[in-house]
Amino acid sequence: MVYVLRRLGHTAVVLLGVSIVVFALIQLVPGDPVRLALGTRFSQESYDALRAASGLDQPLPVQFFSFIGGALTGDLGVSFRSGQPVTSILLDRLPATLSLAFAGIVVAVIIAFPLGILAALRNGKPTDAVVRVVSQAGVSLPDFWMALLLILGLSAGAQLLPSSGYVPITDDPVEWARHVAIPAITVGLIAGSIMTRYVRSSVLEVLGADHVRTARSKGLRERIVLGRHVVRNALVPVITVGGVQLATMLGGVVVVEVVVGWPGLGRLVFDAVNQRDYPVIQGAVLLIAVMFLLINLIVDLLYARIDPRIRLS
Amino acid sequence: MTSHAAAIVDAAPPAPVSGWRQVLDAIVRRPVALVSAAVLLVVVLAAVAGPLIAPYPANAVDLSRALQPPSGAHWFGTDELGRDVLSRVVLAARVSMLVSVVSVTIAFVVGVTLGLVAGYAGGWADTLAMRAVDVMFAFPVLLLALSIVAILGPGLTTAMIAIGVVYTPIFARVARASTLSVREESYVRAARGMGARPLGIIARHVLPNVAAPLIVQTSLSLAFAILSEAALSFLGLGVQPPEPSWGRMLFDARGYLDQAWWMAVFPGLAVFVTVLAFNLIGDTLRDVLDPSGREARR
Repeated sequence: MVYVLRRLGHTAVVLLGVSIVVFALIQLVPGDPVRLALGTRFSQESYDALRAASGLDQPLPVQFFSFIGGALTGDLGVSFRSGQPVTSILLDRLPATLSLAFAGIVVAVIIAFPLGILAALRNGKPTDAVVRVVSQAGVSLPDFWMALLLILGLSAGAQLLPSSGYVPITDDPVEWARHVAIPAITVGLIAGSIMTRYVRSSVLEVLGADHVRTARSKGLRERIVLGRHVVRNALVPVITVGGVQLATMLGGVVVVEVVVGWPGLGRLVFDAVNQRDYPVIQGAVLLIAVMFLLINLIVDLLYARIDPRIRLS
Repeated sequence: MTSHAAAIVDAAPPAPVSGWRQVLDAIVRRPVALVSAAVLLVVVLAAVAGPLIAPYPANAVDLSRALQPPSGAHWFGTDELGRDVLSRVVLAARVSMLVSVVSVTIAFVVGVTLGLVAGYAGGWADTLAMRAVDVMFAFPVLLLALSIVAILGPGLTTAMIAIGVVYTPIFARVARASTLSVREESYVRAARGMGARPLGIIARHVLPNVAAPLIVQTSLSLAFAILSEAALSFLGLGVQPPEPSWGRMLFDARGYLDQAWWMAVFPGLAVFVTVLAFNLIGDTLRDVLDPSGREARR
């Protein structure tokens, strides 16, 4: 309970810090952000209306508390460009990002678990060396290059998959899967490479543990030792890494979303940066950071529940 | 990195820095490290002496030679404006190395100063600095960089500052973790007892003894800085055309995927090979200088 409270307190403090950074974003813009967003042609009325709607005509402390209050109640202001509420723009984009992140993590798990376990079981042998080099290569891959190569091979070349576009999973699951394949393989391959190393080292650590030696000395068959005593225990710490990778995919796939025209949060941030639509940038950055913190919180609490040593340390 | 993974880093005691000779021996003994070092030498050479090596000027437009496949005259083919892709790949190394070296230097100086002071001083200064680092870690790297670009506007200088800022927290965390364990060593306590000033102790006794994990982190950060620079340039927010950059070349290749595969393959390969070489050298440095940090700072 103490651990849970301490962890919740820590998250609350970091959340406050995140809100301050996101609030400061618009304040740090050199010049007048409304003027920058409107470009060169605008009327005084539209300028005044946008400035008043964004609250930038208020004193700084009033702006800050109104930003925090708004964020807590789901009001993140209005877009400088479309005039739409930022919250509804974010909610429109969220399903695309969520569906890509989950498809990506599935790909990552499919890659990481068999390869990591195999490398650990063949520790020091050529298979292990190959897996380690491949995972190192995966970590070094630029995601947007990977996406381009997949488009080159699977779309432009073999004509198997569409090169861009998005179909909601609720509209047509088959078409969604065809469209999500290239971005999901891209992000999944890179996340899978990172996770492979953790699975490998975690399995190696458990292989050397006393309880595994005991299980073997009892005469249990190797398959049972591996399945019941090694892999199950080894996968617990991997939850943490999987959580971080999921959180990263929710916010960090900007370039992949741009390459394949995936209308998620990353693409939204990119467009908003180009259009200097500061409220949208603020809203999206805040949402992504909050999701990142919450996933980390859930993963840490889950991990502490499974492994009591974390709570006691 | 979550708090649990961070705990692994915190728990790792720093190994004393071995001599450079030991590092060189390790690189020479391992074929993978030797090849990586050779790759990095080629990239540095391209960055320094690019115009002398490149067969054609970077912006020599010749529409009559547009979209030609690789040949004896153009090893990597030509782009949509007839520019030689090999020459542009070679010349783009300068931007990539410049941005990554400057940004990692910014991150190193700011992050290490913050981490050393926080770790040595302890108390509220440490708590405040580490909470600030936690806040920075809540933002995905590219998103934070994009936010900084949104404030300062796109360009080369902005890319350096943005990437420098996003990699500052990792240096602060690594420096602080190592400082915490060195702080209570007898030689540091002795220096304190003899009345040495805190800044003098940090510079003379703490910094040299926390150097090993920082050197490893520098190599790994250079790799990721190159990736980030390429990503920003790809999005049109880094170096501006017509200056060649690997990321921008890949962006231009997008429109010609079904006609000119070479436009997408070679610049990407340059990024990939350079990043892989930095990562593999980083791994070798860790094995030699900081074996206790294995897997912790991935």
